[in-house]
Amino acid sequence: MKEDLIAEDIIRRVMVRIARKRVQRARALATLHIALIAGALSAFVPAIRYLAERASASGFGEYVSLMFSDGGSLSSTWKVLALSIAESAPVASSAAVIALALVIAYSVRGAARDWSSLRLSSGAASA
Amino acid sequence: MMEPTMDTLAHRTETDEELAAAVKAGDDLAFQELMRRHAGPISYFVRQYAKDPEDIEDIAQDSFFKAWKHIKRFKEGRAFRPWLYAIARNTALDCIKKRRASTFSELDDEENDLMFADVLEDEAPLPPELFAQAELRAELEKAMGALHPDHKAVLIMHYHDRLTFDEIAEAMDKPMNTVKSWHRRALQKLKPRLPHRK
Repeated sequence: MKEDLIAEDIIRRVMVRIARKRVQRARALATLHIALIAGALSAFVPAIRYLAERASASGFGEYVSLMFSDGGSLSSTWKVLALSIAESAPVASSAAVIALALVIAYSVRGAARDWSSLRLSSGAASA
Repeated sequence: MMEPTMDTLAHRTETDEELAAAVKAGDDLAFQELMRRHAGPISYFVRQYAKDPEDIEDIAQDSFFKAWKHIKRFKEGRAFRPWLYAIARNTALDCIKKRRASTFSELDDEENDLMFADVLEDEAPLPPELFAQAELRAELEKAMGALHPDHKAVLIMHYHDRLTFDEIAEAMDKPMNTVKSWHRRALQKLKPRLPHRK
């Protein structure tokens, strides 16, 4: 019986330590995710602006608008138009915007998971 | 998290190794079951290294916490008990070393080394009832007081916790010959101290 009490005490204390460790880990991950969100957001607006500048400078926007404005000649010139669009597409700046968007999405998902994990673990850790 | 008690924990029937696999997958109840099974034996084992009840409890808790923390290092196909005992022994030794930074005489003395002349015949094993009966156990623990902690640990693991010499060698990270030698020497020292036993 005494051994049962000792074992029960050990189990309880170790589970509290485990819960505290999980809270610690969740906090560290949450901090990392929030830092990533902040960094990515602060770079996102300039990246969008740069993308718009590149698209304007290369004529990409004008080529795309031609697709919708002059339907009559489109059937005979679609190959040339497609090539022009492809050549003028601001690839690097688009890739940067997409990458930043993915980082924000991944970090928001991670932060939501960390928040949920913190809520679950905090109760056990404070026991 | 529900507070675990000895009554509310469902007594699962999986092997230790199956429970360890479940712990790796995040099953907290599996880990609690492992603790339920081994808390007593590990506490008793740790007593061979530490005297202070607070130290014993701390070492036992640290051992289980480390087992949880490093559960991903526990490889499939291995036996769980020797792995756990290895953690408990290392944790106990770390605790002793911290407390006695300048003297390792209890841990690193010549007595504990495998001597070249150590080729005596095997001693007859201890009778199993020594560990089973409370009165006899008390007598035995008193007699074991003079033994090296590792020698005591070998006796406890073999007779009380029913580990094989193979498993003990794995737990203590020593060659089998060393473990058998420690076992032999422990018995040689012990038997004269046990009243009514030769």
